[in-house]
Amino acid sequence: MGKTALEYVDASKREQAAGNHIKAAALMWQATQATFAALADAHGVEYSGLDALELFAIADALEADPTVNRRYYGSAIAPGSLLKDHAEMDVLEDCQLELAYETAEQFIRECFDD
Amino acid sequence: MTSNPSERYVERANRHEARARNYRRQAILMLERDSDIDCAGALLYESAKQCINAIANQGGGNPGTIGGKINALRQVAESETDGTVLMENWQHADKLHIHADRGHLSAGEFDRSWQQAQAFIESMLNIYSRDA
Repeated sequence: MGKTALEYVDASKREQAAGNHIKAAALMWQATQATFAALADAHGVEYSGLDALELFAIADALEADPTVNRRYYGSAIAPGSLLKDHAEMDVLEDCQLELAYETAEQFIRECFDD
Repeated sequence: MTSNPSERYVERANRHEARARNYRRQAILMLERDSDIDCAGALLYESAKQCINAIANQGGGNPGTIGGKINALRQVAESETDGTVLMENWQHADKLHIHADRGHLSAGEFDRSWQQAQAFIESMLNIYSRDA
């Protein structure tokens, strides 16, 4: 599962490098979804889908779990979700895209470095 | 009338902090009184931007464009323990801004981004007060 999320990140970075930002943004959102799915699986959190609200529900469960001792998960949904907005509506300026890519990837890699 | 640049920056910082608080107050009122989530979200985003301006002014900076504000936020985040969370929650404010234009968020998604954007503003105002 974790490998899948990181594969999405790598695919997104290839598209970023090629200047295909609509596709790159969609792939980073998929990487975010795969990350939350992996976190949920690892901590026994049940979920029925991976839309934004489901990710928030997973984030709430992780933040409420005393054995999960790391960070605020609700905030970490924003970069991936913002990239989903860009993939669907082409709404971000370059500087916003850059921040979203960077912070989404940072969160994902931190999760799999544990 | 100010006599040197540093006084001008202090004046700007104070003004931006006051506007950040006022925009936030008005945004909450608009949501609670009028249930106008488009305007409330846009105003909360403006409050978040003014927070960045205020802290940047404290350090002698004056970001203008959105790129300038993101760079200023990066600088703030570098010196804060929860800097990553700050940058993430700023992007929740961004989502509210996009929603004001596109109306794409469900009520539940709006509510969550609203809460996270509020957390951003509160953290930034605390940083501002600490360093004032």
